[in-house]
Amino acid sequence: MNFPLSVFNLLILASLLLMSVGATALIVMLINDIRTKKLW
Amino acid sequence: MDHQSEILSPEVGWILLGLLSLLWIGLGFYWGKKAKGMDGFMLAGRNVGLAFGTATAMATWVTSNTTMLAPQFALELGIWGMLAYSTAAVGLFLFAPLAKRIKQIMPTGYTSGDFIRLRYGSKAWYLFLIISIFYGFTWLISMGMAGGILMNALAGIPYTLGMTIILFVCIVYTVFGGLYAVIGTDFIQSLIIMIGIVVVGGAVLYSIDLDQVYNDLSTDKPMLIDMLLPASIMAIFNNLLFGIGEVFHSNVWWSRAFAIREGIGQKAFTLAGFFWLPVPIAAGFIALTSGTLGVNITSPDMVGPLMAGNILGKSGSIIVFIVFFCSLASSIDSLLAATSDLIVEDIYKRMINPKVGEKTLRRASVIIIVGLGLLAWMVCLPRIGTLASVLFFAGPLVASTIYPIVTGLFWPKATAKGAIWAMLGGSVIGLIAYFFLGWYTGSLIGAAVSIIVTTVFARMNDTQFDWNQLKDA
Amino acid sequence: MKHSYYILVFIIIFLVNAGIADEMPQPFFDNAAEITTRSGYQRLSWGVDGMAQMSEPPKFELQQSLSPQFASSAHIYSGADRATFLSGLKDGDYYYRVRVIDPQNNTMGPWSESISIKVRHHSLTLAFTLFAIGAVILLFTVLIVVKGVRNTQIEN
Repeated sequence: MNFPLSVFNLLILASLLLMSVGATALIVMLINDIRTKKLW
Repeated sequence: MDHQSEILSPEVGWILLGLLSLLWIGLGFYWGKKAKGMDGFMLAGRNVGLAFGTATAMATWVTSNTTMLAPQFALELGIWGMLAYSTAAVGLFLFAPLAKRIKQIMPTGYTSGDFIRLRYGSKAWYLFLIISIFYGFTWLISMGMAGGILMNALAGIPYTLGMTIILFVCIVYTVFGGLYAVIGTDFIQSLIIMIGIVVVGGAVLYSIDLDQVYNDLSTDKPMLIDMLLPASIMAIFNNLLFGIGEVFHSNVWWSRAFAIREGIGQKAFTLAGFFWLPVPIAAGFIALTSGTLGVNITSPDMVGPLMAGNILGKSGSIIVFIVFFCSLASSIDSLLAATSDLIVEDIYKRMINPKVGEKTLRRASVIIIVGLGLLAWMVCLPRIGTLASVLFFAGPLVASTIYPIVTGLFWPKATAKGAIWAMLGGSVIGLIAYFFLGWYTGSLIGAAVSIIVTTVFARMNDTQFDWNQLKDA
Repeated sequence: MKHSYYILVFIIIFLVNAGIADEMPQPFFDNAAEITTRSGYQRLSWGVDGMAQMSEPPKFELQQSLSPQFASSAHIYSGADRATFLSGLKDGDYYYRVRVIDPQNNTMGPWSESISIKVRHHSLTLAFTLFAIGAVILLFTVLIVVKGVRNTQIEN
């Protein structure tokens, strides 16, 4: 019983998408921390 | 040498290596100025914010294990293998509430060893230190070796030289910058890693057809896309529990729990889990394209860098080189810092020289970081075993520490005897499973023994632990 | 007269060919002759004697077959690498052999001794048992953490 092709595609696309979201969120968080002077 | 193809010319490799080394050492010196006193050096002032806190948890968890071992998992164990690797994120998710609890009950603690000593006494503490230092050291070695293998595979830089340089650079900036430098560089490194993997993954998707990859797999390597590959099905929870064990017990994570500002730890670890979750799949699926592209894989631990370089050509493989360098450095620095903290605080200060002053302690830290790095270097010199087998040897040991930690944090009835027998029994029986059933079962069995033993001992115990005893760390 | 001329040419060609065949050594596998795997992956590596004396690294061809006689065979790899990593194999017996090839002159050396990989995946019963144990342990771990957090909130 194989993983369906759609699942295979979806896994890869979703993982790349989630990583782009993560990178953006990190930058937003950094700007926010610098603005509120809560970096460390 | 079973393989001749390298992707970057050694000149480009050396230039990249030089530039990155200078950058990290420079930043280490810069941030090191903030590191005044032991709280600053060991715990970055105990006031790290959300951005740095999230990034450091995420970057530390993205190691050679993720960027090199995830492709290896995909090649060996297929789609389930990638998913199994992703489950290591559960360790971060579950540690999030623990981080909050740790900061509450031990506001002045330094290490995970502190907790075990105050909670369970010295016998459990010795055992825990042996497991913890063994694990930290194996992890360190697996990454030193990965650094050497990687630079050799990518740019033809000799294994010994590549390995030596990456260890040396991390030692230098950790010695000068302490946890400030580790966390600061982690932020930059996690951004580079995430953007790099997305760019590489995107380029791979652009240049090949996933449907074709899937079809080729179904004819050439059919079990990799099979939902019923037994070894992978076993690997899923094994890897998940290994991940939980690693995060729960290791001082790498405890030092971050102490370092992150009050009230932020839980959020930072949860976010880090979400950011980390897709990495093994995004970095791992590239390995599955080897058949379609007709690339021969001579050694599974090189499949990641080899495929990325093959698909992307010279310019793309510069990104790959940088991503791998960052993922290695972000973990080696953390391990050097956290493992040396464990030795300084738990062994030097608590066992050898309890009246030590802050200046001597700082000097001891430096000596221990350098010594640890040197020792790791010596063990890395002969290249032994594949990455997975070296590191997974520690799997049953760390999995057996999960329940002494969790129940110790939350159950007033958890006992020292339970903790000791859980760690001993879990390690031994887990190792037996590792050798007789396969490496993909060791952590699972270790954790199973550990949870049963701790629960049984706690059930039989009537005394309650007073949480205030943890406050004088 | 003409007849013996042809024979002479034939003999010369035969000798030249024999000479070339002589230059193409028989490779050997570094692995054991019979390997059993329970996970469906295996690394194969091979070599020839006298590699150091050769002016350039030799090229190899690796074949896989489901029969020990190689009644029908599949091409797995050709090139200068001396190892390959096989994975995703289904249950069954697989046979491998390797030879030296010279793509420019289109000549090839003798096949190596063949080796076999017996793929016997773990039983699904064992796999699902371990899977179930893992799921139960995870469930309890989550419960301990969630209950612990709730209890400590009540304390505070």
